[in-house]
Amino acid sequence: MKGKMCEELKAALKIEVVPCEKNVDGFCRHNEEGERHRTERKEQLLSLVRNMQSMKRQKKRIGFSEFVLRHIPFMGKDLWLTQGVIAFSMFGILYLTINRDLQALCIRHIPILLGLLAIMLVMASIPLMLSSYHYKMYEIELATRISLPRLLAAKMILLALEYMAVFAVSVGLSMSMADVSAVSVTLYFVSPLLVACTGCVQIIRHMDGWEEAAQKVGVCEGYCVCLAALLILLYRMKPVLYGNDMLGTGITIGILPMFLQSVRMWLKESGEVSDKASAEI
Amino acid sequence: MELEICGITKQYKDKRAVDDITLTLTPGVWGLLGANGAGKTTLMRIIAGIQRPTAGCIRYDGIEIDTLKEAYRDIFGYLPQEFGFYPGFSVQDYLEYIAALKGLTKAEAKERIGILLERVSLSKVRNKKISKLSGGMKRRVGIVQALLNEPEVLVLDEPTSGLDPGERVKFRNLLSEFAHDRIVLISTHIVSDIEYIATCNAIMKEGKIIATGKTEELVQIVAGKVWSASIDGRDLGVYENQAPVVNVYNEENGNVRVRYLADRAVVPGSVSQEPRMEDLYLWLFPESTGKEA
Repeated sequence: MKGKMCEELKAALKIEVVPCEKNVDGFCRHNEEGERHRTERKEQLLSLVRNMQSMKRQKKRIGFSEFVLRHIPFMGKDLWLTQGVIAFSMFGILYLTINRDLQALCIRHIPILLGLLAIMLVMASIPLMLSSYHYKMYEIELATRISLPRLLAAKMILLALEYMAVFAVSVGLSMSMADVSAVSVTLYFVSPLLVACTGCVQIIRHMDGWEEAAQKVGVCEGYCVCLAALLILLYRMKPVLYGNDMLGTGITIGILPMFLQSVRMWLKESGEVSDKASAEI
Repeated sequence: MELEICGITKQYKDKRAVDDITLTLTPGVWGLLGANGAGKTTLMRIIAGIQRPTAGCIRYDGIEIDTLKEAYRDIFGYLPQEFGFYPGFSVQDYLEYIAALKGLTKAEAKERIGILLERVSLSKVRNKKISKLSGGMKRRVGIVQALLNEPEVLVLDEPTSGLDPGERVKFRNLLSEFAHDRIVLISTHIVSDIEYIATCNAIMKEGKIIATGKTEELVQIVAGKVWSASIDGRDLGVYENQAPVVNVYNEENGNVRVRYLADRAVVPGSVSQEPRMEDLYLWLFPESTGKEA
């Protein structure tokens, strides 16, 4: 029997073991009651093992990785299309704004462009991440095998793939056309991305109840807009900051654990209906 | 097969929604009857494993559902009171989506969706957007999603809201058929939903189970307390103040025939009546008639 099954059984059984009476030599005294207790316990154990085994072997079920693949037609394609259009539009608008001079676009605007792009990608992801709450699918999804935390994790994986694709294109373009280092491009893109994501996850976590899904989206979008404005302001007022790789590295390294912890807590908390949400109904 | 609800309590900050409930559910249709705010939905969520109780546990065949985790959700079907859907999804998309969440393989999902849509007469609208369907059709889609994984435990919270009488009958028949060797728990405040199909009922009030039993056993609580009398229509208000009136029927002679609840007959010429679940409900929840018994 596998170790995991043993652990589950231990937790499931919760049978108190009655210590046997001992003889003077330290060995258990075999009395009738002890024998009966052992037999009862053995039967109970066997019955629970059978129940558990039969439930686990009932039907063939898909795993998480297959679920993520199955999820692409439902959520992934629309999301990727939306975000691809956003990225393309941003490049397009700037390209046209600066007289179709791609070289100038890359050299002058790469840092702010990548930062804004990262924030806009996050903005486009928020409604998707909160769609279960917004459309009241929350309870049905929670009560399924995959359940809501893993559904959210699947959505995050699809988003991460999207971000990585955009990031890879950005690195390729920046390095080939503007001679910007890969490290700089990473920092221009990843730092604002992590700051935006962490802030949004914190907002989602601390605004309780699914009734407020639309408000949560609004607050997150507002936060992202403020962040974008701050980036632009910094770029105008202190452009030197963008050349400081140490600062970017510090921000990225500092925010990464916070981001991971926020996501972990969110996934954990999403595993059940919150008391506040429930009490409001 | 049995589902044990062992000493479940759910305490919110200032309210005890569920108060030390112990109940063992066996195969068949179970009706959970109670007025709005009685704690039914909270209990349903705890049984569904999507809300944590303050105290107590739920056991399926002797094993705590917290331990079983996805193995429990594999044999569990749930239709919540507030049933949502993604507006862009067609019926087929929606069911495929839920099937994936329930871990069904593509082939199994296809087969189950086909069978169930046929059973609830929704095959013709499978490619229609859910947002374009009527309330009753949406509810049927909700029931189909709950049945996709052929659950051994099916929990339906207010499943018939929005269904017309014909759809209610179909729904009841579907459940009766399905409930053979399965546990089906229906929470409702609509007595007729469970009166004819529930093998056992539990009545919930202010977070507690105040009575359990078969319909014919439970209605004995109000045996000898249900009366019928013909009165002048103008006196109806007077009698309504004296006893909860279950039903008022206009007679041809201008009188009205009232069915009311009282320990003793309060209208001269009253005749004792066979009690029904509706009488019991109104006896236990007099506030729903606006009068105390």
